[in-house]
Amino acid sequence: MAWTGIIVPGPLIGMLLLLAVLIYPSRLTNLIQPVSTRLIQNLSLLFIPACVGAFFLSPSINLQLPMLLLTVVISTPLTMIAMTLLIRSIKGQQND
Amino acid sequence: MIELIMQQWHQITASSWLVVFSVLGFSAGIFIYRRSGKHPLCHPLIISTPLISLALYTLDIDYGHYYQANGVFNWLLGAATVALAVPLSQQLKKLSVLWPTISIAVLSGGLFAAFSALIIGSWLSIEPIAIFSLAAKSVTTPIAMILTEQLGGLITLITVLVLFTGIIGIIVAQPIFNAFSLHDERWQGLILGVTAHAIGTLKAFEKSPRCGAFSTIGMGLNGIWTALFLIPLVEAFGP
Repeated sequence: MAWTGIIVPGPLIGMLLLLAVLIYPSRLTNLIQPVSTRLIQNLSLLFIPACVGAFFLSPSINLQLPMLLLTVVISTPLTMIAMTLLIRSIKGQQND
Repeated sequence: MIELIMQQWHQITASSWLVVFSVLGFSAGIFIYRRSGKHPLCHPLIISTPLISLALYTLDIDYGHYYQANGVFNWLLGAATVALAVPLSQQLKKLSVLWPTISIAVLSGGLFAAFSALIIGSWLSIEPIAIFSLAAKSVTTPIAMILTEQLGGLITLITVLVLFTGIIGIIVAQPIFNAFSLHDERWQGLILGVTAHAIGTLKAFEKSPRCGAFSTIGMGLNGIWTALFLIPLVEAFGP
């Protein structure tokens, strides 16, 4: 869906709509919860078909894989450190 | 509209008996994961996917064929994304005073995660299509898959990279919190959720329910936020 130039995926719009509805207290939450909890608990099953594809990648992409993993290894701790420092500086000012 | 519904209908009806492989693999994965005491390296996906691909190789089944046959699961992914609103709404109701810090942390953390991946990726001169499959790495898998599809990346790559990000995240988290003396479990949870999505959130719930609640918020808000900025960011970044 295109909206003011920003593309927002359909399922995400659905999630935001549901979130907007659920923020207000209603019986709806109790109605949806059994289904949504089951779905989220078994979410991994839904990723399997795509994940299996990792063993069937083209040779050129396979060549890139070590670099991709290295990027994750560098970027993830870096993001954590940045967030830790940010939160600490905000909290430090408030003396909390 | 009708076209859209038909498209989804075809996705579902394309499913066939090959679904059995996914279900059996998943069952084996869950069994071993529980037996291992829920060790992150025994994640059901790490156990099941090699088993399934081995089965496909030995039975000489084409991967594309298998993927199509699992259409019903890919279709459910959309529903599962919508379902993420339920835990998120429950956690969001519980807090109010912490809003400024939470929003600043999630907005900058999400941006930093994607931006650092793009920068480091291009430093290491990774091909554009692989970089497109990397950008959404710290978002929860259903959202990451949708975003990667729209970016023109490879869905098969992003699922693996998201999983890997989560595992790296929970390995490095505690040493980082200790080194920078962040002892508040609420903020530890938020950071775990933003950077290590569902795997981080599982870890956070092991610490305490409060830590887990903040992790759920971090994961959910970062998913929404990244979906908004990622596509314009990658376009501006250029391949």
